[in-house]
Amino acid sequence: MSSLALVLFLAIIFLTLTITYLSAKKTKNASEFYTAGGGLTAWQNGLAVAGDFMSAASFLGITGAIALIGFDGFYMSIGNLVAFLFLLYLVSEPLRNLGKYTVADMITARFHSKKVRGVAALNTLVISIFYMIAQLVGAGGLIKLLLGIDFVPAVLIVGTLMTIYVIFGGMTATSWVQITKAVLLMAGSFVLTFIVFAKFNFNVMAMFEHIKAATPLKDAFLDPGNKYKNGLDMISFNLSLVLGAAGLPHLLVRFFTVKDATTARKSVVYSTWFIGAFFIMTIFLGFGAAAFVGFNNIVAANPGGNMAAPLLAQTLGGDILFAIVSAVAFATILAVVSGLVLTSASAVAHDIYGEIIRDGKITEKQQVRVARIASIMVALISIILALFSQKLNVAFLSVLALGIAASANLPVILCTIYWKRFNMTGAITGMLVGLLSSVILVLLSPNVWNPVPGAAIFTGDPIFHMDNPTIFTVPLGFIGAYLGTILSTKKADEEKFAEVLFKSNTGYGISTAKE
Amino acid sequence: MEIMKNEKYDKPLKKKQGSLYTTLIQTGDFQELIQKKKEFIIPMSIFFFVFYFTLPILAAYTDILTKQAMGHITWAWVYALMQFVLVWVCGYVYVKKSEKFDISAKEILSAYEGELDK
Repeated sequence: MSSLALVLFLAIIFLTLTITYLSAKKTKNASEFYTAGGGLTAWQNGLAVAGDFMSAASFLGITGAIALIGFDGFYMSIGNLVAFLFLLYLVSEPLRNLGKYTVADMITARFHSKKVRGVAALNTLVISIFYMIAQLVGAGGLIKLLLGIDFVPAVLIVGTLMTIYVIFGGMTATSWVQITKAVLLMAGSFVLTFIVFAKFNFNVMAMFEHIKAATPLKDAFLDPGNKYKNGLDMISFNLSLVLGAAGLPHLLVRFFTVKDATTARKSVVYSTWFIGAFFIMTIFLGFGAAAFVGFNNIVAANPGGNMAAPLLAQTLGGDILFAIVSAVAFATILAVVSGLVLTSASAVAHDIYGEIIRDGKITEKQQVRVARIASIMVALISIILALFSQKLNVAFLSVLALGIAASANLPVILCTIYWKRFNMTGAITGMLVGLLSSVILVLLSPNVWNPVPGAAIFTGDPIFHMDNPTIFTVPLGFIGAYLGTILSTKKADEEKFAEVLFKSNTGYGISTAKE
Repeated sequence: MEIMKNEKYDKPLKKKQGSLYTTLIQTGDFQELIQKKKEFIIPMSIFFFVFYFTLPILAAYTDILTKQAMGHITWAWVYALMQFVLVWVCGYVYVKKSEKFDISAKEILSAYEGELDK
C-alpha cells in the first residue's frame, strides 16, 4: 500500500467522521434521525440519490464488464437509469405524499393493519440485508486488492464506519456522506474519462475503431450477446434492472428527506442527470481499460473485472491517480452501506418496534434510542454474515435483492396507489408471493448450483435454469396481489381508498418535520 | 381475515371524514385532475417501457443492432444512447407537465379548505 493511498483513505474517513460530528447536533428526534427532518433541497437530495444508488458495483463492476464483454456490460447502465423514469412517473410523488419514514408507512396509509406493516418491514429487511452482505463482501475483496488490507479487518473497518455514521448522525450524516461520495465519484470518473478521450484525440469514431482491434473479442466487442446467449435470461435481467430500482427501500426512503412531492419529483430528475452522466462515462472507462490496460491484465488482477477502473487509473496517471480512484471506490462503498443500515434500522425500530409492538405509543426520545440500538443490531448481523460469506460467490445477492424489490415491493406499491379494489389480504399475499418466489427460484438456479465444484455455493445441477427469475416473479407478485384481493371475503375499504387517492394527488396532510 | 384489534388501528374513521374524502374525489375539479394525469402518465409509461425493452428484444432475436450506424459505431450503441436521451427528455416533460397539476391541486385544496379543516 502506498503512503499516498493511506493518506487519502484516512482523509475520507476524517471527512466522513467530521460530517457525522456536525450532523449529530441535528439528530435529536425521530424525524431528524429517519429523514434528516425532511429539510433537504432538490439538488441535495438528487445528489444523495445518485450517491445512494451508484454502488461500487456500478463504478468498478460496470467498467469491468464493459472492458471484458463489451456492449453486454452496458445493459446495467441503461436499465439502472431508465428505472428512474418508473420511479418518477409512478412512485415518487404518491410515496412522498402518503409516507412518513418508511415504505411500510406508505402501504399502511391505506391498510391500517399490523400484518401488512410487518410483511412490508420484512421485505425491507430482507432486501437491504442481502444487498448489504453483497456490498460488504465486495468491499472486503476490493480493499484487499487496492490497499493490501486483509478481508476481515477491511470488512470490520467499513462495518464500524457505517455504524458510526448512522447511530450518531442518522439520515443527515448518511445524506451528506452520499452527497460527498457522489461529487467525488463524478469528479474522479470525469478526470479518467477526459484522459481516455484525450488519448483518442477527442474523436469518438476513432475510439470505436480502435476498440474493435484492441480486445480478444475483436469486432464482436461492440455487439450485444457476448455474455447473454439466452434471450429470455437477458430480458429477465433487464426487467429486474428497470423495475427493481423503483422498489428498493433504501432508495425510496430518500424521498422522505424532502419537504413535498414537488421537491421529490425534482430530486429524481436531478439524480437522472448525475447518474446518466456517470453511466455515459462508464463507456469511456470500460473502453479505456480494454484498450490501455488490456484484457489479460484486467482478468489477472480480478477475474470479475473489478480492477479495470483502478488499473486504468494506474496506467494513465501512475500511483497518484490509482490512489485517488481507490479512495473514491472506498467512499462509494461507505455511502451505500450506511444508507442500507439506516433503512434496515428504520424497518426494525419504527415499523416493527414502534408501530407493531408499541402501537405507536412511543416517545421521541425512545424512538431515537431504539433506532440506534436497531442500527447496531442490523450492522452486526450483516458484518457477521459477510465474514462467513468470504469464500462464497455472493454477487448474485444484489441480483436477488433487485429481483425481490421488483417482485415483492413494486406490484404492491402500485396496487396500493392505483387500484381501487385492492385490499389488505391482497397486499399481504402480493408481498409474500413476490418474496418467496424470488428467493426460491434463485436458490434453485445456477447462481447457487453448479456441477463444477467451487463455482457456486453448492455442487450439483440447478433445477431452475435461468440466472434471473424476474420475468416470472414480477407477474407472480401481481397475481398474488390480485388473487389475494378477489378471493378474500374482506371488502375493499372505499373510503380509505378515496382518502389515499385524494392525499396522493394533492399532498393534503403530508407528514413533515413540523408536526 | 381477522385483524388484531387495538385502539390506534382499525379505529372506524369518523364517518364525516370518511365520507368527506369520498365526496371530494367525486368533485368535478378533482376528477378532471385525475383524468388529465391518467391521460399523461399511462401512455408515457407504456411508451418508455416498450422503448426500453425493444433494445434487449432486438439484441436477442435479430442482428439489426450489429449493423454500423455511423462509421464504426453500431446501432446497439446508438439505441443505448437514445435511452439516455429518453430519460432526460421524459424527466423534463414530466416536471413541466406536473407544474400544471400542482396548480390544480392547490386550487382544489383551497376550494375545500373549509371542509377539510373541520
